[in-house]
Amino acid sequence: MEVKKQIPCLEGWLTMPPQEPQLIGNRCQSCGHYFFPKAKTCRNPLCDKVKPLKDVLLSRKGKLFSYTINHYPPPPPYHAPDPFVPFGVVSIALPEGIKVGGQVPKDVDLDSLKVDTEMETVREVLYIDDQGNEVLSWMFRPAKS
Amino acid sequence: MREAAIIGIGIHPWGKFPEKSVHELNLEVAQMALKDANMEWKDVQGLFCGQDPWAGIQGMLAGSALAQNLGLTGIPVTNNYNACATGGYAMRTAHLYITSGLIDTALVCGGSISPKGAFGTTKYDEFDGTDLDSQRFRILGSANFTGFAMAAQRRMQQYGLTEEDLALQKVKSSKYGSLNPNARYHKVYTVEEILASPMVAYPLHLYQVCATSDGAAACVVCSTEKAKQYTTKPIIIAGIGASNPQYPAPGMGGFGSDFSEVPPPNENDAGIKSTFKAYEEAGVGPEDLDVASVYDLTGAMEIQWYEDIGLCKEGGAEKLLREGATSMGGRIPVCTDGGCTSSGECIPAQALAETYEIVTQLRGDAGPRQVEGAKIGFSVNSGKLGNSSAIVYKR
Repeated sequence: MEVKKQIPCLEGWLTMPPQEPQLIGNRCQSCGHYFFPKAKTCRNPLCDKVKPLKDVLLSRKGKLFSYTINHYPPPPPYHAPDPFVPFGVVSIALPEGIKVGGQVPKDVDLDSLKVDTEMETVREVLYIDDQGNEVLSWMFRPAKS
Repeated sequence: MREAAIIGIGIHPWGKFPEKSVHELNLEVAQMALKDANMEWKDVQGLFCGQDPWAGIQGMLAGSALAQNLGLTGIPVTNNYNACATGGYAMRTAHLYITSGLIDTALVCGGSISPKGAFGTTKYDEFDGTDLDSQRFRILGSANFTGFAMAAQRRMQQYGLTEEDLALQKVKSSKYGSLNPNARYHKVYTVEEILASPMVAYPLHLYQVCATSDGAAACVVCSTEKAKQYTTKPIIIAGIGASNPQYPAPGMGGFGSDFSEVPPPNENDAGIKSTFKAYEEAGVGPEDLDVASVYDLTGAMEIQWYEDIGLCKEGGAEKLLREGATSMGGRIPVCTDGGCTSSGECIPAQALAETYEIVTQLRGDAGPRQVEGAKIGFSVNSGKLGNSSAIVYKR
């Protein structure tokens, strides 16, 4: 199938080419706390919320908090390929003080993952949709040193 | 405020019962609990029932449907859903109605006919950009096992949890499940069999993750004064907590976590909040417990609970398991009915199944899985969006 275009898996959650791959979160201008996915309003109950939230690009690099390898095809609405190929899922601790989940690209040796490994944000094809578009998601892979 | 006690319990075996509806299951266990309490339905002054999220509007009104089936007496009926803590929140509400003096007697119930396979999104979860949990399934391919597996992996690297430890927990649970007629699975597994079962999400094998089950459980609660009319063996609700997480909530971060530099476990966790609320109200500590039920959706979760409920310090849970402290004959046997790993999870009924087991233990009615001389029991659970509840029971 001919690729029509590249679209984000969720509009406004990640930067798109030609920009560097980065997650788009937001930050409360009152208390300084970061949110991903973007918060509708600051979720810190102790914040005075005087100033608004502002969209920010989150750090590309963070530390591996934990990981697993999914050996089962997740149920819909996940687009699991047939035949199914196990894939890595990680939780990354970003310097902003939040943890973010993501998949690991297929070419990464999953046995090489260790807690606290430095990981970087990349953009990969999650699946091809019914119209032949490449649906892109953020993923995390060990950072190039 | 006055005290409340449990004087009747009822349960339907856990399993798959496609020929039954949740309303039939609820009716069965409600009648069983009433009979066990020697109480007639007309003498019940309040009904508190969990909702079944997979049974449409009638499932949302499961308590109202139950009242209709038992015969409408005009009493208040509360229908609630708090994920895995549904039964605990129903108990909490019944407890408050009774201890405040509003009513003297209550029936608490919960049941469900669950979907097959891993819990995922339902047709009711519209993809509207606001339901982050649905989007987690859709984009990360991260069903609940994935998060559980990441928590287990973190423990492996931090505290030396091993695949054998996880298998050991299942061996323990399967032994007790085999002695529980209401458990779904009765086979006793070996470490080798468990480790040979298919990998689901590393390090969790198929036999270590909880299935989805149908089931129902109920209990009759009344004031301790009223209880004297019905039984000489009331089980006192000595302390009860029902909580939700506090910002910044700890966790793995599905899509993303709250701003937090505090790793789990910490006091913002709802399971820990519920536990310590129940301990405080009962005037007991973890060292006083004789038997406990924790929410073992995976073996790794059971092990984590040892620390969360204070049975040991952080990093000490594996040692408790290996030494048999949480096995029958140990200092504090945990999940003596085989837990979720032997029965699967039936969300709206699961907290009440925990109550059923602890009440059975404190009454001395647990037969071959009886914890000798058990006087103080405890149950705790937590689930989606952090809903959690805990109860301390005394005989």
